Amino acid sequence: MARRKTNPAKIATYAALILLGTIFILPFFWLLSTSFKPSSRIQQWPPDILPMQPVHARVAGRSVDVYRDKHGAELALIERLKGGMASVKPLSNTRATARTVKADDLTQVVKPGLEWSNYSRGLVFIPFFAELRNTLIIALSCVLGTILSCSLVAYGLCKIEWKGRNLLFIILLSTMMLPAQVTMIPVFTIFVKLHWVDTFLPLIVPSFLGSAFFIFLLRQFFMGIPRELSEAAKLDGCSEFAIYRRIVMPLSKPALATVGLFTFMGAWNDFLNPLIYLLDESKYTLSLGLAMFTGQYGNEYGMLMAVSAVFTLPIIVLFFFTQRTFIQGMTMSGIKG
Amino acid sequence: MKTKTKRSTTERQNLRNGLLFCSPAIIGLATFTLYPVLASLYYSFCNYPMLKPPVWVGLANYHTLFHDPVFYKSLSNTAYYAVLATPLGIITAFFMALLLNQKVKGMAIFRTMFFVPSIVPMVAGVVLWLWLLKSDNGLINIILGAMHLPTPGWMSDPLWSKPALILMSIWGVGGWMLIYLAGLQDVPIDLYEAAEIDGASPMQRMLHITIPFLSPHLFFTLIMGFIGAMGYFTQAFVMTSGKGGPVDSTRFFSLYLFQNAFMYWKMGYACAMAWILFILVLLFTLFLFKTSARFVHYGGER
Amino acid sequence: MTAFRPAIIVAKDEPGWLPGVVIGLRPSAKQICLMCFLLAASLVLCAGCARHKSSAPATVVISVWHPWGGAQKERLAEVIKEFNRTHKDFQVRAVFTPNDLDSNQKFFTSVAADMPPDATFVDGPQVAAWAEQGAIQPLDSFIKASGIKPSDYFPPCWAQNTYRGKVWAMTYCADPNFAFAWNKKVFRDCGLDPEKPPTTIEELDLMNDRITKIDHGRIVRIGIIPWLQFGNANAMFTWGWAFRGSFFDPKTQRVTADDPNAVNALEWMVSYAKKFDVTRINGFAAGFGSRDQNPFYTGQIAMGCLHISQLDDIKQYAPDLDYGLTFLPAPAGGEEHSSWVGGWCLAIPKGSKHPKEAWEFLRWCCRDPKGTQAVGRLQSLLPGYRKSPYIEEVRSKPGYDQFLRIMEECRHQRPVMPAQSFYMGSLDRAVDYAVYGRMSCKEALSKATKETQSELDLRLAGR
Repeated sequence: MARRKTNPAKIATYAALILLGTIFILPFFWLLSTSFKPSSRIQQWPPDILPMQPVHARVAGRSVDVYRDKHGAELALIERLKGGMASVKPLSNTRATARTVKADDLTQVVKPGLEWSNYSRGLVFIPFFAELRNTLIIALSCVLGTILSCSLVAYGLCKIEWKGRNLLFIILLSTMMLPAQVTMIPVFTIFVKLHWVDTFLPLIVPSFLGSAFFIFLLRQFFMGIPRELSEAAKLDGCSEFAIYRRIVMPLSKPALATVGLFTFMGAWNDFLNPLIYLLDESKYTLSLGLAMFTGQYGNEYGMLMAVSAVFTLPIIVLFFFTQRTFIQGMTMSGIKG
Repeated sequence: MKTKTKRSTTERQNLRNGLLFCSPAIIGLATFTLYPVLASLYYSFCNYPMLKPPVWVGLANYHTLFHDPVFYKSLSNTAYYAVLATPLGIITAFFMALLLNQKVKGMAIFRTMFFVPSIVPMVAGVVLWLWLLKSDNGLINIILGAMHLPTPGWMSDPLWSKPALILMSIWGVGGWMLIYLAGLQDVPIDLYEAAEIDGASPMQRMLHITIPFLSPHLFFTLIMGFIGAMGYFTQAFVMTSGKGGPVDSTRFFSLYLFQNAFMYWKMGYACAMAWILFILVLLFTLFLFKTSARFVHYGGER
Repeated sequence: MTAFRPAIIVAKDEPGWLPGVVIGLRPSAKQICLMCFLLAASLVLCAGCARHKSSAPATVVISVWHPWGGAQKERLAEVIKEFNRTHKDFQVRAVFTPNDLDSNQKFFTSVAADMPPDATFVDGPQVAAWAEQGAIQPLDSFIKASGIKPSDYFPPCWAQNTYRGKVWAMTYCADPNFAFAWNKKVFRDCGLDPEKPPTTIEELDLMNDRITKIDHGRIVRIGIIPWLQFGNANAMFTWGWAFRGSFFDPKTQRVTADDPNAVNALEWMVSYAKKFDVTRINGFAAGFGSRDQNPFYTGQIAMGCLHISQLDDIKQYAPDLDYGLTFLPAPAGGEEHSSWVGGWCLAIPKGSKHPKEAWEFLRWCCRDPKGTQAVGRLQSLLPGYRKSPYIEEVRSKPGYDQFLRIMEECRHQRPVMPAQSFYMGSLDRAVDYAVYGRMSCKEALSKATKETQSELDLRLAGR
């Protein structure tokens, strides 16, 4: 049953949503805008809000830039000369002789337009589709492993009364507090001894062994499931695993979807682990690929933004279409009265 | 006695089931956690320059650490960040979740707008925010200036560099918002209606119904947020080119740790730092758990 | 609290928890098949990787790890292609590895795992540190066999690669840091002769005062920001050497950042900080990425140091920029045309599986006339090999010719010692504290000297 909202409240809600939403989406909008700008306009000050393209004209078989002078007349820039001068011809009459003006008096004429080359070049500059495939393989495997293992462990930690479960929980929690850099080297040596370096295994297998973060999350969720449900099931003769499979898991869809999404995002964005475990470029993931756009000797901002946009888009789409799962509550919450 | 054996059989069964269910984590702990953790403890008592074998030096690293002014500076930077970013992030995410839980047309689009920042890749995000935070013609200061508010120097002002980073973190709380949103679905609507009939104001309804029901999730993000804040450094690292400036104002504990481990190759010293951090966080988390009983309500257990 | 009534019936009717729930869609047979397929695919891939390693390829392919992202990535690929075309006995494969100049986790973890690349690029100033760590091999025997002499190279390049009497790397490219650039349009606007850049620090100060315009506390235009030349530490080195500072004495292995000339250089830099509000200046210049000098491209900063790679940057991002290049101005009695060399080198890691082939790659890129010419032409970089035919070509390339002139007079390289990256951080902080007025210049540089010296002593003691 929906609550009836008075009109002013609804307007206020909309206003807040639009205002805050704009603030939150602004940086991403800027990312998109930059991805459609040609290099010459990216560093422009004042910056173009919408992507602009320089206007061109054809003069004597050549394509030249169009500028405007102080009086607003449109000129074709034939060439730049020494001493800050420029040779121009009026756009209205390109057969006239060129005259020389001060380059400072000219402003470039631009029109709104999308520069698609950042996308077409960017997706080729790095082995995008190979890296996409690699990233998907890793991310989806991690999702599978995490949901399986973390739900089992979370169930064991809160739905079964056994000695030592609190101790295990505390130990698990404390593993999250040790900074990653420190365990990185010993863990690396373990994988070296297993000969798993330069494969996907170090990136996937640990997710099948539980992750303290998600175990904690699922435990909190599972604790909200009434004990009476499992007790009634036990009276009916269900085993623990059956209760897990048929009662707890179905009721936890929002939580599991959250875990799945977070795991996917974590694997999608992971930089450090692919960096040290993947030695062959053909195995690189997208996060490593993005690093190829910035370098000590020159950055490619247009392509970086374009590929970042493509990198982010699948998750945005995924989220947009699966939202309902997150907000779909447990069927037991008394909504049905 | 029949009851006694029945109880112990159930206990044994429970123990077996418990261990079985938790076996993935136990295996993972034993292999990928126990050994590395013990190794790092051992290294903290050594000098270990990465490519050469570690050399035992006893408590020397810890001694140096406690006399290192950068240690204290980085600890205070991290405390500043943790104390501000975590509560602010939780409050922001909480209100966002409330806002996004309304039955309003186009909600799917709004929710996506709030969530997008948390998934923008860090490389691009940092470039964007450096541009936004430019003190003279960055978008943020342009807007502040238009509203006649002071325009701080952000990443170039030692007083405002941490607030700038906190702002960037709050922008990315989409994940927490999602957790609260999921949790809000479990709040019984008939309770709200009953309260409304009883004459409770929206504020009272929020305080006495929403928050208690959401308390397990709020607690979860409090713990995770705090642990994450104590280890925060990646964005600061990239935005200050690994320096932690200006004048060490963004030199967080984990950044200094990273510098010691991978820039100065003092792995042993870094491990000592890590263990200090670990103990601090462990103590504080245990404290939070002990005091949680009073303000966290679980629906189904305990 | 309402009492929850158990309703097993509802629960039993729920579909199972199958993995399809993960992506929030109804678990369908199709979903399950997809998951299984992906899992199988990944296992196959992993297995495939293992098999790929064990099969011996027909031609030896060596791997070279490089940090060239961005614009140079494709150009390096061209260089490698040229190498592979001219070498039939083995091939080279370039692997991009993200590298933050001061730390290279990927490289060190790979050496620790005994799975290093066959050859690797190393940032010039890091050679001594990597050598001390034992991450790279000495090249003396290869050098002697190939008949390479120190005089083949610009002196600072060779000095940078020599540590403890051995040579540990070959110079791939020599970056003369820095050329001094000025914006001719701004000069014209301010009534200054656009063809006459400052040659002394005094002239620089005067011109800066003429150019700098602050409107109601907002910075409109600045002449120069002395410490924002590719980071505080690089700025300190640049101006420090121009003021005849020394920074390091290799004979006594002592850090000398606090010598009076260096302090003078810092005092000069800080004098600019006192003219404006520092928190506003740094913010003014921070832009897309902190290493770029983009306010120069937009005309907001009129003068500053330019790196050789920016010549291409400007062509791409600011093709209309009207600017000039010259030598660094010097103070009265200072070092004229001062500069120092940076650049990238090639080295052979410890544990490299194909050192002979790796050496041939090093030799071709860094010493072979045709090889260095290819590198220079394709990447627009200066070779360290001063007798390369490309050097003569550069004399007629506008912009690059100025860099060559600077290189020929270059006398410095950053201190060749294992605590180099620590030194950089230390100097960076020293300049920070001085510029922000937290410490006097002398105090700041003394602190940097002390902490770097103790760090160096630790390293030299083998710890």
